[in-house]
Amino acid sequence: MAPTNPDTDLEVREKQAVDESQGEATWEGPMFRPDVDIYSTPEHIVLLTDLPGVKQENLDIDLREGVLTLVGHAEEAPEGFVPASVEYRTGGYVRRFTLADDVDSDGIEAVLKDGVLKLILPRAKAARPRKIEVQLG
Amino acid sequence: MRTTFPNRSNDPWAELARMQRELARLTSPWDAAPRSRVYPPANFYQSEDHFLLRFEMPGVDPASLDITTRRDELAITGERRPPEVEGDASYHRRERRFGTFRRTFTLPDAIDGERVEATYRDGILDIRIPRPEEAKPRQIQVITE
Repeated sequence: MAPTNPDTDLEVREKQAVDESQGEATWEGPMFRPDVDIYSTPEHIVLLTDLPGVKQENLDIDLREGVLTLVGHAEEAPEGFVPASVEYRTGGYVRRFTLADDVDSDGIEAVLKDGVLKLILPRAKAARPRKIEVQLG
Repeated sequence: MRTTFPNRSNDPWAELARMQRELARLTSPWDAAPRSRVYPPANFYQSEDHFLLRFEMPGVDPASLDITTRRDELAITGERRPPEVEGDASYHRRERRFGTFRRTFTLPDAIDGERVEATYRDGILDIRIPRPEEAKPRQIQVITE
């Protein structure tokens, strides 16, 4: 996609509000669907999620019945300040992922750095592709 | 891309427009938020003695940021680099964007560059700009005899 601004090759996408009217969970305030990259290697699956403004203590990672749920809350405007011009909305983030059967859920690692959550989901040993050596008879 | 922040206290029409926007936002929170397609999105806050320019920019190396001020202008350039992945990795989903960016802002008052503070934490960049003494709101005491 061609950028609309000649100074930058990055474009902002409007935050997508999450419609929870169909679901059972309710949260206070607006919730957004964070952007995510997912890639896999033979050994693991990696999820990178943008959660700007979310501190470690405000992030909840829940795994049950093969569904991974991320819920995070970002801080509002700092105390004593009033918004004068607003380009992005603040609130929480929520996103769910269904995990493949071959993920070793006990070995999941999570690192939150600079507003990006990196989740490393190792594949179960048995599910990793193996190279079978052909023995010469 | 230039973004100008009007001085709320000195421009009654801008203030009226702001109030209308705020009212629209309150009555229809999902549709009426001001939009900007420029990266990084910025929110501008005021207190009695500071301006605060806050950006959402997760995963940016602060060393890539360059912030300069000149008179009432503040310019920011930087780069959001894609993560390094193993050679045999294959992507299933790619929603995050990467690249270089540049934005310029015009503030309501002249900026004292020596006193500007920038901090990057949790993917949020905060630039705190002290308001000049003469521009601070003042309460005028009425003298009675």
